[in-house]
Amino acid sequence: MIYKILSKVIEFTDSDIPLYQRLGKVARLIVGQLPVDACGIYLWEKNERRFNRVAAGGRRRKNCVESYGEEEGLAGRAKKTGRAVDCARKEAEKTRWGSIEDRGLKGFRSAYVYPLRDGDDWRGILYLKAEKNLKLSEENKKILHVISKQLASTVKNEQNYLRLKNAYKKLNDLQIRLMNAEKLMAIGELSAALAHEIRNPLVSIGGLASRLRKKLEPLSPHLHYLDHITNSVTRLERIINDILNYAGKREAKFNVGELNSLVNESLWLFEEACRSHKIKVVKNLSKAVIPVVVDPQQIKIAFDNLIANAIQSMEHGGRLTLTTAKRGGCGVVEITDTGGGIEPNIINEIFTPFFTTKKEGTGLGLTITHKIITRHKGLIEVKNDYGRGMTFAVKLPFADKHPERDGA
Amino acid sequence: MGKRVLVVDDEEGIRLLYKEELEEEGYDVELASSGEEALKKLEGDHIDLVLLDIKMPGMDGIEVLRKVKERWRKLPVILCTAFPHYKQDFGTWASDAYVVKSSDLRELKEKVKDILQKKL
Ligand SMILES: Nc1ncnc2c1ncn2[C@@H]1O[C@H](COP(=O)(O)OP(=O)(O)O)[C@@H](O)[C@H]1O
Ligand SMILES: [Mg+2]
Repeated sequence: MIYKILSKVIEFTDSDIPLYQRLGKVARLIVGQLPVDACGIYLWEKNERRFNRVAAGGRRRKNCVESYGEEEGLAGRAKKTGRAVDCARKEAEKTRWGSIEDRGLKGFRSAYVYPLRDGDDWRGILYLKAEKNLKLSEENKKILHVISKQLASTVKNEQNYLRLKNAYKKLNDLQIRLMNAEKLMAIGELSAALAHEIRNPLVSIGGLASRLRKKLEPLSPHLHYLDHITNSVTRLERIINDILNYAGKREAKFNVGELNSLVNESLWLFEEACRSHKIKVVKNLSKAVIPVVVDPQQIKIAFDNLIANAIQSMEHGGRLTLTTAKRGGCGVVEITDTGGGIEPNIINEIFTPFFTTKKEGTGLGLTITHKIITRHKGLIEVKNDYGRGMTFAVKLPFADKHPERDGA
Repeated sequence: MGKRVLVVDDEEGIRLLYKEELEEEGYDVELASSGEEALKKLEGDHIDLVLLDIKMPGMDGIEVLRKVKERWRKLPVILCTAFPHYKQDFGTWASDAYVVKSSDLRELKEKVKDILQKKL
């Protein structure tokens, strides 16, 4: 019997399912094997200084109180003495045992509480209750002690694992940010090379194609070859200009701007495009003015890019929502489309220079946008609701010393 | 007599293009494929205007510009480059104009015209 319970406990606590489910299985196992009617497992929350219930089992599991303060009830008693409460016996109707008040005792005659801890580190408690007058055998108590040890080490492992995972994620995020920063630096260097190595031959190609055009008869059937050459060259020159103008080292000129009007000015450019694509524009702009520190020229390029992308994602119509708000010391703009978003496995690529999924795309729009927002000491965030649409949120710092600024 | 323009560029296609287009505008065009060659040409011939590429192997355009301005202070020079940021760099200040290269030569031709007219 001992062997059977303990091997089950180990099997459950070692399994791959989430921690709370593992603890739930153990709680149900205990009520199945011992003559108790409720078994609650509580974890110690260091920050809140409380025991919170995370699993419960038994016919009367609903009567396991959700949470105990550090000095509250039998849980508090176990915490204070550092030992198991073994056992509290009382009248069924009362909620008091000796001098200790515990809401969870109502309707029970006996209760046992075992600390889950290793050394001085508290992980939680195991709380058992029976309706009848119950005296557990020494053997059962030993089993519960061992189970408590096993639970404590399970919780400890889980918490350590989470801490590690967290640290790993932070490191990973940092690495991604560093990589992005490097990519953006690289594009600066790349742009110099691009300019020299590609623009020069392009001038020859395009310029000489024009010369050829002049030499051909005005109605020559060969003119359309030249049209193709000229169009391609013009497109490539445009890409290079994009890179050089925005990725280059132009100094930003910062001023106080008003977020709603900046958004409106960008949107204005696209009204016609929205109409012709059957895109409904929903403006959800803050009524209050939102003063932000911006280089208006640049920030409009950033908004233009985001709006253009949103429109391009909705070829067959949809809804473009623009929201502005003040949030946590920042002015926030959200640009939301219903264009279906992007496959989650390539979402990480969208800020990469030259990454595009469009036939005519340059893959520089978001790279440039990111660079501009970063220059503004702002943040850009993406919410990808794949199948529905996408939201780009831009956060810009409030203008200091501006009279409209709220809070301190 | 037509004005004489010296085109300095290491890329043959560009030299050819500029030569034909500028001759069409009525200028005489001389060509040089490097800074050294350009300085030699300037010693020998009378030149009214220099179109100078910035990035060339060997002596680069900025260096040529300095040498030209030291010796022929009044000779106008237009810097042609693939790279717009040079515009703000000190070193280009001495040039009379600055053109970002493009397959569309209208801007270049206009600057050439402006400068040569001003000189009259
Ligand atoms: N609103 C959006 N909805 C869906 N995909 C988007 C959206 N915005 C950007 N993308 C994806 O990110 C890629 C890169 O965007 P961008 O850098 O602006 O370059 P481009 O628009 O030239 O492709 C796009 O090709 C597209 O796949
Ligand atoms: Mg784009």
